[in-house]
Amino acid sequence: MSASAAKSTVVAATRPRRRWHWALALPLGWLLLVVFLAITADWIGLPDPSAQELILRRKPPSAEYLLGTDNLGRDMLSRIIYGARTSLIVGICAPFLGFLVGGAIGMSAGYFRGKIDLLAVGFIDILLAFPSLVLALTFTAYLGQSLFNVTLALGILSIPAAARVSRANTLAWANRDFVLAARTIGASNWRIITREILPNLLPPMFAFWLVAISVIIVAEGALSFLGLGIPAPQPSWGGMIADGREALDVAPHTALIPAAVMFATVLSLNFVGDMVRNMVDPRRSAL
Amino acid sequence: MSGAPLLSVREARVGFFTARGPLRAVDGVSFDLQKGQTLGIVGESGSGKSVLVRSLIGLVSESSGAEVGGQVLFEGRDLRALPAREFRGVLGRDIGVVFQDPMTSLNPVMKIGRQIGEGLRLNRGLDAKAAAVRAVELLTEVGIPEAERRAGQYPHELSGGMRQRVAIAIAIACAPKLLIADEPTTALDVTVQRQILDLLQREQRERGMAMILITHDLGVAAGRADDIMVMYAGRAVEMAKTRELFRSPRMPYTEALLRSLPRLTDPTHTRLSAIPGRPPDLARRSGGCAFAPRCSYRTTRCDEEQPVQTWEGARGYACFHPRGVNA
Amino acid sequence: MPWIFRQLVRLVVVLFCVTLLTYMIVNILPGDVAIVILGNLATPEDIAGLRKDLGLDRPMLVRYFDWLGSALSGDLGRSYRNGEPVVQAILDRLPVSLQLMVMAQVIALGIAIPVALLSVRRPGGIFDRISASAAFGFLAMPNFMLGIVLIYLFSVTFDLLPATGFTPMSEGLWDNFVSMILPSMTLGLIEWTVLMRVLRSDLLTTLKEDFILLARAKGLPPWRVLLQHALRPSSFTLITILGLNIGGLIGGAVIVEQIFALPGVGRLLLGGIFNRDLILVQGTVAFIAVGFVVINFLVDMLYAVLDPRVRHVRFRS
Repeated sequence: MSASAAKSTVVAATRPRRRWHWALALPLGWLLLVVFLAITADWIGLPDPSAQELILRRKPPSAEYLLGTDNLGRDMLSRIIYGARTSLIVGICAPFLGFLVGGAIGMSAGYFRGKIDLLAVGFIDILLAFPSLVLALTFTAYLGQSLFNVTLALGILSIPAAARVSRANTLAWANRDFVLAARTIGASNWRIITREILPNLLPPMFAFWLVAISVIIVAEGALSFLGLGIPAPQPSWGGMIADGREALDVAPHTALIPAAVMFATVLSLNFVGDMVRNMVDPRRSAL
Repeated sequence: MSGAPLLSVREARVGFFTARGPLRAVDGVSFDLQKGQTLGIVGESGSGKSVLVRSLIGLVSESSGAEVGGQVLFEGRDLRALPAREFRGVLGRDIGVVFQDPMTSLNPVMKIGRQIGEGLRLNRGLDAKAAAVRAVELLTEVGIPEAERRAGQYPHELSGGMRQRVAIAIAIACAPKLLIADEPTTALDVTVQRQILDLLQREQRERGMAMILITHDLGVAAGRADDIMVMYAGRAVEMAKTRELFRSPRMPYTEALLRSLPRLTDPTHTRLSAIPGRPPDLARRSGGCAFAPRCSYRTTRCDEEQPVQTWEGARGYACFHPRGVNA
Repeated sequence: MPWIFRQLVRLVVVLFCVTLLTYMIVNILPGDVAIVILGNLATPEDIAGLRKDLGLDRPMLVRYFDWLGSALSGDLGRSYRNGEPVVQAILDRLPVSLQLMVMAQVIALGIAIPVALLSVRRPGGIFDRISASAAFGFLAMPNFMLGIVLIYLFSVTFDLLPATGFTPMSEGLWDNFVSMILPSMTLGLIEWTVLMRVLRSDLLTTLKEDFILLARAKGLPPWRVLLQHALRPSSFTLITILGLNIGGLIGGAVIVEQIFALPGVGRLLLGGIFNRDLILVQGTVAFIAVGFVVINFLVDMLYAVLDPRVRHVRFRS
């Protein structure tokens, strides 16, 4: 037997860590552009999105109509930008609504446990027992179609998910030492919930909210696509795609352009959402 | 040592890439193992003993993200140079492995009989029926009552000790020439540890297998290994015949390990001495002896220079201040 | 088996609540049903008459139990529009929807399983990265959008497959199959991404297990280790997700049936909604929800059969 500690070969340097900053620029830039245009839509000299010019229907993109015109000769660019406004309003407000209600339900369930928890979980289970689009359809069908009602219906839909996230996180935090410590010094439940648990709940809820935005934008698109979302003259991406579908053979741009815009937006949102979630919860980064 | 060794390892090295930088888990370990002999590899967790052995049989390899170096000869064949297919043949036929935790080393969703028969069908060409029959025989051989019924059960239906017996049955199924037991009793109840070790030893003797017994417990290796290799921080720091090692350890680390063992000759309630400090961080190696920070014989030389293996006949050690030698 | 008994009780409770909620949504939301049916120009007498006909003057809970009672005996009422029994209308269209969902699921699994298996052979490798990006892209595609894109590609541009229209099985299996390709692709091409991610991540976890090392130590070739040892213990989350995703799939089916003009349950529901056909909507929604709950229940049971540990260990509520 012989052995000698040979001079160890230098192990190659660590693999390069993923570089996010440039990869983030594109989706973030796109989202900022969409948001900016949606906010300033009224002041950047866009033609009226509802103004019809029947002689000029289904025109391909040109200098005058940057993205062409649709079935009724309406300016696509203008409709897409105003549609972004619809998507963003619903996409941001509906999950927020759901998160207010669902967050409160989940927090009380996770904090008080017992019967409240049982009730909350039961409620969540029942809502989840419906295929969500079917539930949304039914709600909007009977609530009546309007921006507010669509937002309300989709807000209700996001309650269960929000409740689950907040309940799971509350459960996880409620037994941490600092919460127990707060309890032993006699802090009230209200104080513990608002001071100790809520701040820890916000990051995962925020990350989830980001993801929910894209889900809701898609859901709003689906409702409008089916003709049960935002009512007709008001532009919505889903509605535009549905309109364009009829002329797919002669004027594919009327469907494909809003589709592409929607795709880019959802993709960007997912991208940013994933990254925020990885930052908030490093365990999930593997997935 | 006489005759061509069954297994001959030269300068085995294993490196990993971690978030904190490259890490050398095994650093230039060499040893020979003769037919029918038992080598005990002893070290604390993290000393690289499991990684070393797993790298020998390709379970830690380049494809699993490790950097592997050195030479491994099994019956004179360079295992690392073999094509994948042939290598799998050697692994399946000639080498059996028993892992530490039988809770995790058996497939939870596959019946026991099939897990035993699988290797037989693949490596010994048995058909499904013959493999099933042989599996039952093997279960009986490793001391499982009602073997026939057990063969149709899933691992979770057996106790830990039973499961380890099943694992042994899997390991010896193809009549290997080398049995590798990686901490085979660590995860078991104290009461069954001995039974499992005895079973391993009996099978080894009856079948004339060579065995590598990995353990963190010198006491486990004491009566069962012919030779012992002590590992520390990825290096073999001492190697000797078992008796010699226990009689007069050279390396201060071995000495400390021995002192942490309870002895029958000690008066009751004697405090066992623990080794002060913690094993070194392999990603932050210093230039000197890895054990130096915890060593009571340490000198400045230990901090600056890596001790090379010194040989006294068949026993070797890597230390500037060996015990029991007039240095 | 107390566990299965408890699950059954739970199932019954959930079914009860789900049907009740369906009934409530359809019946208490604003807009008197009678007005909805008769329109805003109806006279008060007409409305009162219809209310009485419909039994709307009784308390809602009473009406609910009435409805539930007949529903249990297989009667969901008749459509306002054409008097067709709702149950019959659903059963007529159910095969189309089921075929759509099964085909979509087959496509999804047919892509997800091989892709996951191939990508875990070298995590972080080229195949893994390409498939992860593809999954990320497809996941961002709303199904109504993908449907349009597929029609544009396969029907308008290359004229390979029919854009719309459905051929029943009775008029030729092949034609039926062809007419269902694009619709089921629309659902399957999105669904596989979720399945692949879940399976991939579980496979990676499983591959770190000791029993995988042991399988390799037996000399099994890598593909056998993957297929025989890693795949099954890694598929439990996948099955759960399959069950949960059926909800999404049903929603997707509604849209896809609309895009491709397939006579399925989803389209029946949409027609009911547009026509204000209340009884039809109520029956269809209840049917879909009950079906969804029952399928999820069955998936849970399947889970217990597939994982021998569950039968012993996971006897939780």
